[in-house]
Amino acid sequence: MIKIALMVLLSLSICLSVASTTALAQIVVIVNPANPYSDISKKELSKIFKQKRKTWKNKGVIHVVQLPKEHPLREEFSKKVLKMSSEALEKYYFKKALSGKGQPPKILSSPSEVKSYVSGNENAIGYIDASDVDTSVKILKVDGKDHIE
Amino acid sequence: MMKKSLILTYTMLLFLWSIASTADAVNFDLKGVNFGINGYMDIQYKYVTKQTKSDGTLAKDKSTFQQKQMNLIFDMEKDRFRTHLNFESHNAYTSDDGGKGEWELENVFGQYTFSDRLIVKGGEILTPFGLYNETRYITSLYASVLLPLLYAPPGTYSEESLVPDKANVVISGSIFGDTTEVNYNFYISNGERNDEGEDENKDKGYGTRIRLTFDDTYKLGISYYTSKNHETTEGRQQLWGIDIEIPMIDERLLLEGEFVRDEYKKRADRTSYYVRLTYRVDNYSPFVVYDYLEDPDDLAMKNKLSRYGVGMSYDVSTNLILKGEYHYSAFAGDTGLLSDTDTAHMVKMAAIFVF
Repeated sequence: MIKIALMVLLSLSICLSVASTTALAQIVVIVNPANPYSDISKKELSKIFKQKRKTWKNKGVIHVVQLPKEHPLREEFSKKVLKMSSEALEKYYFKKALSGKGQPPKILSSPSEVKSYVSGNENAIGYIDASDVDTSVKILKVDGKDHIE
Repeated sequence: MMKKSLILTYTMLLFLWSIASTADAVNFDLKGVNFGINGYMDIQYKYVTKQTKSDGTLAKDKSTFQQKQMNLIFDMEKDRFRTHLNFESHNAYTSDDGGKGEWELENVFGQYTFSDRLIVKGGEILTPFGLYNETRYITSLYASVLLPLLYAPPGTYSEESLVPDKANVVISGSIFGDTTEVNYNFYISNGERNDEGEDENKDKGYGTRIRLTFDDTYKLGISYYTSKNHETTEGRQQLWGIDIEIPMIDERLLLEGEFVRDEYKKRADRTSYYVRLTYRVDNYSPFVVYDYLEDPDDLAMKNKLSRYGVGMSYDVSTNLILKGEYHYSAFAGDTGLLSDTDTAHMVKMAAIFVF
């Protein structure tokens, strides 16, 4: 009886871990459809979101849009692309702002707001869940892939 | 005095704690122009033993509570153009004399971004020399409350900091390679002001700073500045600096170091360097630091000052940081006003609120 109970518990925990893994969002980077770029490296993307790279090549000033620091998509994006936590990123942005190097990116409260902003701004870049993408924005491939790994 | 200071510190901490969870930076758009308002303020408690006055005599042990600094930062951005203003208040309150509380416009400039490789700034700009000079007052962002001696020597020191104060025109930019990033700055500044505080506008200072970042991790900076100030007494000044930032163990451990040599024609050269090791674990950042300043021409400070420090910074939240540290200063040499065995101890605590 105890063996069966243990087996059931083990199976449940495996199912839970698989479910939580598959529940992770597939993050895609989006730009305005008029943006000529279609592919970017993760390194370049990191420079843009860390506000080191501020202009598109031969184009205007890049308008980075971010989600609030508590948003799970931002946490995942920060870890995968910027190699830091969302909280550490907030501190990084503070440091830049306080040392006179520029304001933090615009914070929009939800992925739908990010999509709406990017669709209306030729120089904007943001990220949302793959399931929220529609024709109003263009997916920017990262290292040749649609979503961030 | 000490008890009163601690009560005040505790009250201020409670006050900061209560507003830290609600206040945040202000950022808004108005007709396509992005406005940003940020700021920070600190409260500090300091206990120093055997403090030396500038005339070489010794004061008694001293404890001070103060609201030392508050900065309000305003930014306005529209496409490639940006303006930046940094208002600073000093000593709004000190337990010694109540504080004089003066405001000044610390930093004001306009900036135009041609591309990542070419950015031009004009105005009153903190000089891009060394690791801290562009951010030298931003104590909330670093583990220690004290800045290195080369930026902020003790109040008893008769000369100013080694690094130059302000630049007026800065041309800067970044060049990105596959594994290396190069940041450059070239700048021109007005020469030092005369004894009456007037800028005669003829002795310009020129400088450059180049920083290399390898693998987006390791940083090496080289700075150079020259000016022709005080020609009759000191001749041309040349200032050299080299600095490193080496993160280790998944960037939890940070080694920072900086060396500066200030060369004059008609005055003894000055040297300063420091090495700091900071370890970040969760919200805690303990650190150890060794700091050194040598100026053979300074009588009160004697030839050499070595300062050893150990401390801890704790991030209560993004908005509130608490710090506590101990520093031991040892003076060496035989030409000053103090005896060879002179030492000083300092305990410093601070709460810094960032918004």
